[in-house]
Amino acid sequence: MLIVHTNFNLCLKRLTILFALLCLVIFLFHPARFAVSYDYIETSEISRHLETVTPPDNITKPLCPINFSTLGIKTNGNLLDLKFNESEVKIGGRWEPPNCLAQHKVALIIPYRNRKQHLDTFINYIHGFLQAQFIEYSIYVVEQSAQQAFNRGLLFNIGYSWALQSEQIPCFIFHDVDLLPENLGNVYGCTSVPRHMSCSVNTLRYNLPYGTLFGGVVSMLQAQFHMVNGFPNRYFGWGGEDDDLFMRVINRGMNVVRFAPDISRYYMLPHVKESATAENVEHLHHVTANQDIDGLNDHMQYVSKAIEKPFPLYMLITVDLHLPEKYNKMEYWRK
Amino acid sequence: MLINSPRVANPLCCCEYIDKDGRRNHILACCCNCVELDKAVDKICCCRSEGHLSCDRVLLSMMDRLRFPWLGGAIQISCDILLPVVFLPCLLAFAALGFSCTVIAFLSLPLLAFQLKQGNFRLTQSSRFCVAWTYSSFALNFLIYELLVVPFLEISPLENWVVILTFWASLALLLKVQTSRDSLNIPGDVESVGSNLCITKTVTCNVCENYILPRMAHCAICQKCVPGRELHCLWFGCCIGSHNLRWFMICLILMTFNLLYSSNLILTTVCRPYRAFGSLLLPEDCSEVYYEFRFALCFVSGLYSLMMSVVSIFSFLRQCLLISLGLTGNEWRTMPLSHLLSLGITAPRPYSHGILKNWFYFFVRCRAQQ
Repeated sequence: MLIVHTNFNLCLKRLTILFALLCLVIFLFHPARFAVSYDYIETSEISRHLETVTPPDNITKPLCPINFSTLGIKTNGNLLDLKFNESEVKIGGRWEPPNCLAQHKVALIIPYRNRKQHLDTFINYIHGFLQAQFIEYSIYVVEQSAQQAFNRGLLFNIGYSWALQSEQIPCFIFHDVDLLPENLGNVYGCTSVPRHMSCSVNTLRYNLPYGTLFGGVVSMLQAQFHMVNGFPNRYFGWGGEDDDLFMRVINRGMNVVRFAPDISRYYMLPHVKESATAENVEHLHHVTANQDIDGLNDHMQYVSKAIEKPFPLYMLITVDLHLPEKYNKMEYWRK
Repeated sequence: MLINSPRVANPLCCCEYIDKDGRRNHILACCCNCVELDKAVDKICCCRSEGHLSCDRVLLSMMDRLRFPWLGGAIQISCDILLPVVFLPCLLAFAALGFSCTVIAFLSLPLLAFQLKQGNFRLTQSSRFCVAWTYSSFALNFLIYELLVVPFLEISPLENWVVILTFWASLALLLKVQTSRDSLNIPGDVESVGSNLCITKTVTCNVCENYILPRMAHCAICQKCVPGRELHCLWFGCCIGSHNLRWFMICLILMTFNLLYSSNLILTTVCRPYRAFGSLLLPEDCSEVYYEFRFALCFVSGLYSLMMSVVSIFSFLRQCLLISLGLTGNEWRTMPLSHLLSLGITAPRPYSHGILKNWFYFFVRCRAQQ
């Protein structure tokens, strides 16, 4: 009887140890704890996926070449050393290739507040980058005045509708001010599906933390952005609006594409990391319910005043926000 | 009778133990009924002057009662093992408070190591303390990597595989180095091996008075003669001789790789990295780590791994030099200064066969029997 008892005890002990080991191994290698590898469009396939501008019949200029190789271009650290001629840029930050017809026509929307140094660095870099790719572009910087917490999604919506008022643009790139592309292969144009462009950022060790990340730099066709009802407007403070946009895209039956990691490399200008506010995390539970009532279609009721001011290298839109009656609670105004 | 077979008669629960007086005791009673303390207080109250002895007794009793619940009875935690386990996290937490704290903490570490080497601490056994230090450093770095750095979601699964495999492999090798025994422990053994190798001249060790082979040397800490003795590694807690030199070298390589790699992963995660030589990531700007304690703790742990890897690289290179020269660590230490200055090249080296052959013998067979 005693022997059976000891054997049982021994067995139990071994089982416990085995179970503990199993738990440890599962914990150590659980894929959710690590950066993900993702499907991407092969570099040779990129040109097939790009949505190009259909050239008008009466134009005699040749189409611009698509040569996105970084070969032969000098580098400055991890960034490219690109020059551009400031006199060629039209006031308000517009440019088109002088000798050929651009295959891509885009508007860059950049939400911004209180980071003058970042903005200057970014603007000086991106002009050279876009001109090296022969892209017809205009740059809209949307600045939020200092009253409320920063609302990135709302500023994108404002910039989008503002740009559409002044010209017909098929492709939009929603761009953070602190991200600089490192590789010319990263075409600043739209693909047939919304594209997450900044999937390999230096501060994230050039890895993608999770597969549904859709922040940083995103390119979408005008029709697509309209279809998903734009960015959400209710995300005040840091974080959440990019994940919301991802779910909006998925809800509308579309998918998200990316280019290869080495092509999608970005350099992030230094600033202190922040963490998402609790309200924004809460908003993420109601994406589907709010998609049709919160977004591009009602963003104008948040805007109390918007002023356009053309600078030589970009168009600055300064907006004052106010909250519509239905959200007029104190927590949204927290800074 | 009962004390001899307590398990059979009435097994101990996980919180019970047999104390130093042979009585059954419980962890929860650790603050109760301390005869030694009572006596000591009595003595102080009555102003009797035999304080020193009773103080030691109180300490002994305290150490006996310091126990950890375990299956089949609480196990005793030795003070010199517990100390690094507690002290090291505190040190890293202190270093993470700010830049100046980091500098102070990391400057004090080599000083502490030097003091330990000189044996200046009145710990019961400083060698066990050092081994516990090594293990807890490894464990702490690994824990910080797994629990604080990996959740940043910036490490790829492959990188994690490399870290985990090299970590466990170097721990296993460390155990192998510590547990491998030389076959020449018994004096009779030495004689038989000596006669097999046709060694006519027998020498005795002047400490333990056993017969020894040439190149055997006595280790004061291990208290025995070690064939082809290189050094007594405090951090491994054992003598390195011809019986475990190869394991020692492999262990050093793996450890260095593990430490360098994990420290690179940690530092590139919390600092701003840059790409050098194509795709190799190196930390560039770590000025932002002190804004948040979690970042600072990871950063400090990365620095600490880097520091440990420097130490292990250094001892690896030193050992490489000695093997190339055909000398043992013991012979190196007994060399006069003039030979040391020329890196031992001018020293008389009766057992050296030239660099290539020395390395060949290192890989193929024991050096003590060359």
